[in-house]
Amino acid sequence: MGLQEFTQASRLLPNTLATSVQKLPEEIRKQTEEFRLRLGYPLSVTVNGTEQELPCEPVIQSDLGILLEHCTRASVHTAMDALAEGFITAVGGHRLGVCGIAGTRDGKTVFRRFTSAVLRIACDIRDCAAPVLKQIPQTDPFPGILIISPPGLGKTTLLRDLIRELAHKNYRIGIADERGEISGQSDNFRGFPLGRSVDVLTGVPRSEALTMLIRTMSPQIAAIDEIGSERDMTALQNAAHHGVSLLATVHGNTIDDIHRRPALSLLIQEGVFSYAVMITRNSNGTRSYCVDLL
Amino acid sequence: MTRQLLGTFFLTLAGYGLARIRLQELLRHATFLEAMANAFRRMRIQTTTLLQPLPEQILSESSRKTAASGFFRVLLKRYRTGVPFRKAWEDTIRQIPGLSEESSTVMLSLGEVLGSCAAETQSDALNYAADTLQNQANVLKAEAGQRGHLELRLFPILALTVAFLLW
Repeated sequence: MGLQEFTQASRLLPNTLATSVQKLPEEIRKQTEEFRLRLGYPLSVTVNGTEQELPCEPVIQSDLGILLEHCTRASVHTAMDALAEGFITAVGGHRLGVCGIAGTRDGKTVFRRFTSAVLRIACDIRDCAAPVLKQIPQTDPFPGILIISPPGLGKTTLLRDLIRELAHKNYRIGIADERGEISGQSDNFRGFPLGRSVDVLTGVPRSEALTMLIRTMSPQIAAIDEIGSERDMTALQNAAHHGVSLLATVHGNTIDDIHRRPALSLLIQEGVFSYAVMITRNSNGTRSYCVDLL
Repeated sequence: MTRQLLGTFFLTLAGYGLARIRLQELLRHATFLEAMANAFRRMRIQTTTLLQPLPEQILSESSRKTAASGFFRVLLKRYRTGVPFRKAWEDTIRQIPGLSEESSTVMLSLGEVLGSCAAETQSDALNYAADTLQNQANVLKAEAGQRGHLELRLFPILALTVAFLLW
């Protein structure tokens, strides 16, 4: 994590809470992964996977409202679809997940009241993909890579750096970035610097974005975050049939988890993905990447 | 005699001026309410059809040459200092001079919805606020037409009477 990202994310918190987290020692601030707000409890920060409660006033309803206001730039109406899925991406690529009392209207989830929220700090770690790329042959076409890990271990961070490394090698890359989490791109934020040969499409559902990118930007490599739905699989299959190499992330612990999911297993059998990268957390908070041939 | 005539003239002029100022104040307020109603109508379209973020809508309104642009300029300035939107909205409304309680209530209620609800909810609130302010503007205009013109005649006559009594 970086101090810059920490500061940027802490500004999204209500002023009183932002002041509390900014008082944390620099070493903790650098390693903070997320802020957790639960109604009636003090704010806590997650450092190296462990939650630590801060000595501050309990979170009140208006704190959650202000957090949501800051994350949506006082424009909740622009994030309703994302909120229906439980999370939104704020300026800087930080992800706000919400929980509370919801209902269903016209088949969509609508929150009536928020009771807890987690703000995951987006981090842009340079060169973390270098050791991964060293283990993967740079063939033409580039082999498909599937990044596998449980939530919060840095799949998106690794994917982002992989994109940057490959862009430096002059591959033309298209990113189907529905929530702007990979690129960090939003209405008033340019996003993370990824390279001049990278095209990003945000605000469009992943599967549709992938199809649009292939049709309009003809990328050599397409990147997509957190695949899972049937539509994603079909879009990935179509992309592969168009000769596009794929970089994708998926939740899971092992390759066996992936093989247990029929649609994903089929993609592997078809050779859409040739390599799997598994992420594990070391005791000191750093990450290890294990590359396996699928 | 000349001094008395001059005094009468200036007193009558002052009476007319006072009536004119009161009429203009009334009309300016009506124009402001009408401009706010029009701004809310534009914001409703921007919210529902374009899903435009609220700060952009306010920026757009603040750069228009309307009687309401000053309100949006102050609001934007206040919001950019990091104050929560609802608080910035409330503070800006409370600083509008001569705002009736009814207008104030409508606008304060709108601030509770603006930017923090689904587009449809905001649209309904904007529509209601626009209609209410437009009605109030119409009432003020009619009032200006009747009371204003009456005062324009009455105030100079009163001033003239006072002048003659002082003679």
